[in-house]
Amino acid sequence: MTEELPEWLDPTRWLPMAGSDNRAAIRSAILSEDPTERELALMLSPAAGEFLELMAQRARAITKRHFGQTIQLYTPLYLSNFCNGGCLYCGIAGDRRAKRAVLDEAQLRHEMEAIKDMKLEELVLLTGERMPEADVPYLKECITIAAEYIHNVNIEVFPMSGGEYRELAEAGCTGVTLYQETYDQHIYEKMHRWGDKRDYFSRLDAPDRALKGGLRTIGIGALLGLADPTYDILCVYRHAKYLLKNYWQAGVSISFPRIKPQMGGFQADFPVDEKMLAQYIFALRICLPEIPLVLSTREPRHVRDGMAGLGISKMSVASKTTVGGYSDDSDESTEQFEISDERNIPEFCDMLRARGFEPVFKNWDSTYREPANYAAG
Amino acid sequence: MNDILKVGDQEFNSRLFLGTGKFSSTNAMIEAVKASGTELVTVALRRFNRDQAEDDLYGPLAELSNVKLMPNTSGAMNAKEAVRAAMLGRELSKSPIVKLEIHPNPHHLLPDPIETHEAAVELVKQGFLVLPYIPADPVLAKRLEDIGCAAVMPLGAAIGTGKGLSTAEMIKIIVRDANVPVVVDAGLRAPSEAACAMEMGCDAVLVNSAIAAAEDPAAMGAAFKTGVEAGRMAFNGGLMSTSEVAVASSPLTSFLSNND
Amino acid sequence: MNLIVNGEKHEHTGSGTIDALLEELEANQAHTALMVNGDVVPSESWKNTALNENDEVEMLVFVGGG
Repeated sequence: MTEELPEWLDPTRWLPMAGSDNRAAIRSAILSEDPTERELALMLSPAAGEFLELMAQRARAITKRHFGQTIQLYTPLYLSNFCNGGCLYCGIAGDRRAKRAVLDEAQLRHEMEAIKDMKLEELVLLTGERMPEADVPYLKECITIAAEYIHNVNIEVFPMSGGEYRELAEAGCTGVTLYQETYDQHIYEKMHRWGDKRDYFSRLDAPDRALKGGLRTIGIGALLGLADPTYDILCVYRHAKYLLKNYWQAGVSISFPRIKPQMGGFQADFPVDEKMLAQYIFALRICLPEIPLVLSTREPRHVRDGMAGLGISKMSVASKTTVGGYSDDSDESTEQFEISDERNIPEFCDMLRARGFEPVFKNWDSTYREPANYAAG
Repeated sequence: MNDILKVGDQEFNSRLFLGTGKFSSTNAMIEAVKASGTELVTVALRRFNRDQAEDDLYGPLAELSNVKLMPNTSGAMNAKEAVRAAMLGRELSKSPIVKLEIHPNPHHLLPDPIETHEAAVELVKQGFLVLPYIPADPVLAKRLEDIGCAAVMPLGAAIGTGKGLSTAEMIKIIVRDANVPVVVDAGLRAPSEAACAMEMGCDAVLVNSAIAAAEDPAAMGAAFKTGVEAGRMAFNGGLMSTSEVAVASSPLTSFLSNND
Repeated sequence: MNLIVNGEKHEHTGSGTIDALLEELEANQAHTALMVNGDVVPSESWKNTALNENDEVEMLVFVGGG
């Protein structure tokens, strides 16, 4: 059962362009001075793969103008992998056999010490779906604690109400990451077998609630491979434009999680290979010059090394997807997905510097930590 | 195709607004207004002078039944004066639409963003449809939109300079981010510039000096009418993109495999 | 009575309402907006508004402007 997509999201107008094989039009789009959605669609077409090098050149020039020769670094911290959700593609879904764990205060402080020692200043706290073990009061506690150690605390958890977002903003949370997973309603329904996450529209509106609730930044994205990636990337673009226009003081960033085979054995119906991933990143960089584009440690070393500065302006580092994980005593069997790049921070930073990039650990100061307030209306 | 411009609850078929100042005579102004097809003209408020009764434009303009009058608060040096001017204007026009213009410097006539914001807050509260004349500042434009202005009117260049769209890059950002109509006001000299503003995605333009100071104002009014229409049609038709030249260098993507 | 109208001294010889002043100055009522001592006075009140000695009256009309 699907409802009509809101006008701001519906990508059908330019979707046909994403099937174009008009080489001249595609080339012209890549070189366009003021690219619009039309140009984006052309750049997403399979035929545009032929122009990958040209797209990379442009993406690099634009990234350099807006982000200089820097790469922003952050790290994820899993607070809890308790989850009763039914996401077909996820290793910690409710029916999957994963060892469940949740950090208590002592454990969290232990992790924060380790993270602080690594000089990290931006953190994303993760949980599964809303569970009694890790609900809003717990999150509030964790945020309060994390905010004692570092400047920029974010969450990547279940969607919640505006009031709950405001509570977390007031506790010191700066931003929210929330992926729609796929914007394709049919596939979304198929992928989310039960529970709250089945509500497509409530998830879609969560970034609005978060920003109205006072969070300063929002990270969006689609899990590449679930559905036709040209559809999903067009929707991510439209979603970003919508948020930029309606929450003009908010920071919007886009990530590119890509399905890799994992313990649950889920295979992507629409596999996205490295070249396609690169093409989508280049296309979004060209069409959204000022938006941070983020790559995680899901991607292998050679991809991360190569993509730094080629559109990508921000990367996670030294990630653990086990619960806790930064201090010595984490349990491998709690892992949500496999890390492909296991380099520690000094190693990773050496690589960046060798390529002419300065790693940036801090881009936000806790002095600015008051929740945002939008004028009424 | 329905391409009506909505400003608040007021609707316009023409996307060319006219200023009525600087014309050689009331008659010249009326002829230009007619030729331009405009449906909204700005008027200023001045002290009644019984010896100059013919300066009173109300009568002649009222005869043009499809033309709405928009009082201009020009002359006001601060928010308080602008609010008073707007209220006086509303008395006469019997309409809520007002052009909020506060220029403290009588030479360059550039608008004061701080007084303008303050006045706009008060005027919105008093039920006006506020069209603020502003520097082409994207943040100011969003602030004014947030507090309830019905449109924003960023300048192309200082009044009377005819320097065209000197603020083009800023206007593009304003247009991109705006949820209210964007009207480029001041600085336009030629119909091609008005067309350019419309091609950029602006919703309307306001022209005064370029028409009033032309050799043949009525002809210039007609020319601007056509320019605005052409620009709008081009925008709706979807312009071809312009090209940046890419600089070749050593390959960047050889690290990508066909794996996965 | 003595009034200051549009910044100049004026001796009003009529009945002292705003209405009367406008008639005296041959102003077109429908085209004139009015302030007394800095406050806008809506046209509906003109018949009944009495002016006082040394009141400052501003009478404004629409003229050309950008």
